[in-house]
Amino acid sequence: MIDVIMTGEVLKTVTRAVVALVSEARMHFLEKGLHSRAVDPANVAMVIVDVPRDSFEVYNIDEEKTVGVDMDRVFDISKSISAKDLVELSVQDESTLRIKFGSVEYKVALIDPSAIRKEPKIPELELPAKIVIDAGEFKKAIAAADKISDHVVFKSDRDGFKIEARGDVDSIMFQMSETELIEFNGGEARSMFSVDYLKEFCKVAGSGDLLTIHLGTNYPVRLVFELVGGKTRVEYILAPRIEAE
Amino acid sequence: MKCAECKGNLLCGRSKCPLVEKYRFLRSIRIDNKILDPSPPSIFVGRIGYPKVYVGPLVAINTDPVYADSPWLWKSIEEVIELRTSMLRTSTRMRVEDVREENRRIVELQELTASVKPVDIEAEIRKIVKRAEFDDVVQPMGYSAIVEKLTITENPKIPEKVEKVYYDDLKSHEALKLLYNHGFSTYYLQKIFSAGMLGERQSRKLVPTRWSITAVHSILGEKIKREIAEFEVIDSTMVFSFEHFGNHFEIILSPERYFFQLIEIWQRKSFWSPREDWIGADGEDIRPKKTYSNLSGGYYAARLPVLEHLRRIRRQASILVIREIKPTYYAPLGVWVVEEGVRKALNTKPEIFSSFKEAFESATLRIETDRRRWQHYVFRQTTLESFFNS
Repeated sequence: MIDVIMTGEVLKTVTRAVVALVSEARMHFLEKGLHSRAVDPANVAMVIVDVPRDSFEVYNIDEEKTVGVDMDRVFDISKSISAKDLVELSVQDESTLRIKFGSVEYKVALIDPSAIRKEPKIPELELPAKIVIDAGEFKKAIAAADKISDHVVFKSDRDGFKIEARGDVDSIMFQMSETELIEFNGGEARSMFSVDYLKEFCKVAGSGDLLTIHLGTNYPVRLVFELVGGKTRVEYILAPRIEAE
Repeated sequence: MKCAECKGNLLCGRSKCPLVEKYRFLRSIRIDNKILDPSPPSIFVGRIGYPKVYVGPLVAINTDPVYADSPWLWKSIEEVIELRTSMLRTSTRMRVEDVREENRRIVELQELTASVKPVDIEAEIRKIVKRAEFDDVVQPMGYSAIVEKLTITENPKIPEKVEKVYYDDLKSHEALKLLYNHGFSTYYLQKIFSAGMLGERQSRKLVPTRWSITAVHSILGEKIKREIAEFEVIDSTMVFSFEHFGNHFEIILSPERYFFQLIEIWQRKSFWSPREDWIGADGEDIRPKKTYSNLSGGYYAARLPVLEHLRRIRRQASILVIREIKPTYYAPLGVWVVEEGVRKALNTKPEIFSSFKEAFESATLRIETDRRRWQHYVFRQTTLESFFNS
């Protein structure tokens, strides 16, 4: 039995984070809270979502349980719930997820978890550069880069953190020095990434959310978003593009 | 400088004037006010005036109709221009939705299009339009004639499968996949797609030839992508190479998950870039391509034969196609040049390498344009599993 209550904003954030990469995923209701993770079909990106138990208004589970959820559908429904409204998720038997908000009760069939693509192991990455930045600033930089190229270069050195994109006749450079960044270790790193993916990732975040970037050289990047006032943690790991040199 | 002002003096910088070449052949064509000639069969649906378009069969005036509609057999630019300009484009004006009426005029046109053998056509010519046009997607065309009383003088032979799909209510992408998997060529499918013979019956339309070509390449490509997504990656890095009609192709397949990239290098003096070298690139991963390629129809024409190849060997791969267009490609012949070029390249014996870097070095040697001008466009999308076991 699962019976939990959270705000509409948390549900929307969790589902939006996952649908950026896949349409179906496993949701683990653990003692410490809700956890979900998945890799996209191209095996280029991974999403890891955690909502600690404390972030729920009510969190009742009689044992740790995993359910398979059609995230596309749940995300769609969550769009009609106001951010501050409370929403109740419950699973009574093995087959149905009930979502109640206001006077609405939405029911959707669960998916057999074994029918969903295998979950990835969470890798341990050693990445030299650590950058903490306002997610809204990052989002603006990616939106601008998207206008001129389908990939961007992330660069970190003693001078600060840069995002560069190059078009046929134009180029764009986003640059923040150590003093402008919330936290910065000055580590040296440089990798290139697909704008398409980054754009999808940014959709969960807005101005005021914290983003921690762990960057290496020609190596996957970790983008860790702290959302809904720290109630939800969404991490994306994205494989780089490598130039022919 | 417009072609009309230059009059074939090559002021544009091309190595030969496509219009002059074309008129050389056109001069030799005599047309009466009555047509009684075969169609390969082939039809052309114009895009001008959409949704009220000019549509009608192409008629072979004094050439072998089957050969004139078989791009994979053609050998030189002059031959293509000669073949295609000796085809008269007959047309009448129709609304694209008119196909839904299924009246005799429409059904005759469709039966003719779907025929596997040339069909004799009779018509009276009301007006001849002597305008020469070239297009990057569509094959070159000769004279065009507005006709009346168009009839077919024999019963066309239509494949059973096609007839079945015609009377079924399949969605057009499902119908295309079904017929393609049954062995029908993309050229044949483009024709019947254009003639509004596929799709749910109450939503059928005539599709301008130019759009139908890219639509078929794009739809079939996306279908095959979904099939190869679960295949194992190839074992080694391979390079295929081929050149025809002034179009050079280098194709590198790497043992990684599906990723497709096309680099186009138009050398100065080639048709679409008379004044300077032009370089462009586009790419995609296994997700459906959302936006229309900046390389237009050629992108989808290059992608399909690669996917065909991967499906045949039941593998997936990361693909780089480099297409270098030389001044000898002085007239655009249509995207079949790309489709056939890539297909023929993949039928040759590949060179095997132990890394992408080596393969790329080798392929680069056969590209004439200085690599420093274009190699920054080349990249590979890596996957998470190449860094750690997920």
